[in-house]
Amino acid sequence: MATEINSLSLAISNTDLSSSTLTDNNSTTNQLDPYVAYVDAFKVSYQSTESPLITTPVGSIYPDPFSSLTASTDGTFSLSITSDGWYKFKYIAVPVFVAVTETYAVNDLLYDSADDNLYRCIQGFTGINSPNTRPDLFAVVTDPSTVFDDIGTASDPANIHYQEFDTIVRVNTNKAVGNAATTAALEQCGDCTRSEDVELYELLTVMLDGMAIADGRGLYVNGEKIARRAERLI
Amino acid sequence: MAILNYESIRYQSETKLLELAVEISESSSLKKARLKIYKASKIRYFLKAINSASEVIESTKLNSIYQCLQHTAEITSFPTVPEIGVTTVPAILIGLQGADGADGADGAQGVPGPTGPSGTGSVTLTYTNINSTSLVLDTVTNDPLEGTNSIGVRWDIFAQRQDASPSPMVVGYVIGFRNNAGSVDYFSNVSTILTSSVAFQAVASGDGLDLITTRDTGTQFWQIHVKRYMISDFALV
Repeated sequence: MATEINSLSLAISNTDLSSSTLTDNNSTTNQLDPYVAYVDAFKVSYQSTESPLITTPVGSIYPDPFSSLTASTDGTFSLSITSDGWYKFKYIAVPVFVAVTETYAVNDLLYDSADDNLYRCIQGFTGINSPNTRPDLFAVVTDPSTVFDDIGTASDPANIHYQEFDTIVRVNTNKAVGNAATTAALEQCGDCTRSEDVELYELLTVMLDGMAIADGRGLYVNGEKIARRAERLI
Repeated sequence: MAILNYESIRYQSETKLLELAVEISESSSLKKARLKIYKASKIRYFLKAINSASEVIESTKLNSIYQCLQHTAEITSFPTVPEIGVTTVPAILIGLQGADGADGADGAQGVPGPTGPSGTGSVTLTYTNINSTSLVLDTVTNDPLEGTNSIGVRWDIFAQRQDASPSPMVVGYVIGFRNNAGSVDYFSNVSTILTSSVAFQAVASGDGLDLITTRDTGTQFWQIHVKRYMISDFALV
């Protein structure tokens, strides 16, 4: 069965949200070295509707024309994030064909840099066989995004690593809290009832903490709802 | 002061904060949700105080913060140690002791006691699937037959053929003894059913006695049960 990993992390720049980076910290993926990684990224609504994101591999020269799935040779992807909320990443790491004797079972996956295609083994063997020259042993996977759906089924590729990574992005709300704190700090009347600035600051901090708690507990629908409401205040 | 589980209060307070944040987000008017915003902010401030300053706040003050947090987050089902009131001892008036009362009726008969141990000298011997035409079933040495209080041995016998239906049977007893001439002898009384070829007798064996069974030739399987009793405890003169 495919190996589930837990080594993905999402780094979002506070100065330029459009250059956020999804990275595989390679705690176990190195075992596949050399490998190529695919990511299918989505923005998810509170109704769990998945909308594809565009990802670009960093340092890669193998873009995939289908959906948002692209290949990267170092497990790092850049993506453009413009809004807070629920994001989902379906990530697989597949070994690259090298000319050494290996054993492959049916459904194993292999990337061939000769034609930049992803292949599935259709007949098990032990030896050295380039996938793009052996149509009797390998079939092209025309849509790599379908691989994730095979995990846990009879077509499970046993030689890959995968991870489904969900997170609640809250960078915009965090920046808004800072701005609201600055504005509220300018309130000079110590006897006044709470001004609107202070109320906005408190509201945004409640929403920010709410998103953090939702992210930590895997309650992504709640995190997305809060993010959408906070967006209207920013 | 009630004993509090800090981690539980912290977790449930965060849960309440999340619930309020979602309710505020789902509210169509933030003005209508103002009370929820105040409550959520309060919970958030208490959590910040706990997380940020728990190492520098005295334990009694920290406990006060937790109690406020428990109240604000409405953790009403939190399992705290209940207060148990002190029960006062009832006052009992004691007067002078009265005269003895009359005897009561006899009680019911008790249950029978356990069965006592078996008497000595009883030995049960069991044989199954016996196909022999001659077999020594038991041996009694000279020792128990000698002496002033022992005169012989009795064998109760039950035998039944196993490979026939209806089954031939032999029921009865054999008594072996030392006669007035000093030699062994025996007396038997057996009743045979559907057979006449099976016999039981006591024969001399050294200075003792053997109980033997004999029968006609042929393949037959018998089960034989023998119980031996020593005929003793008589004061012989």
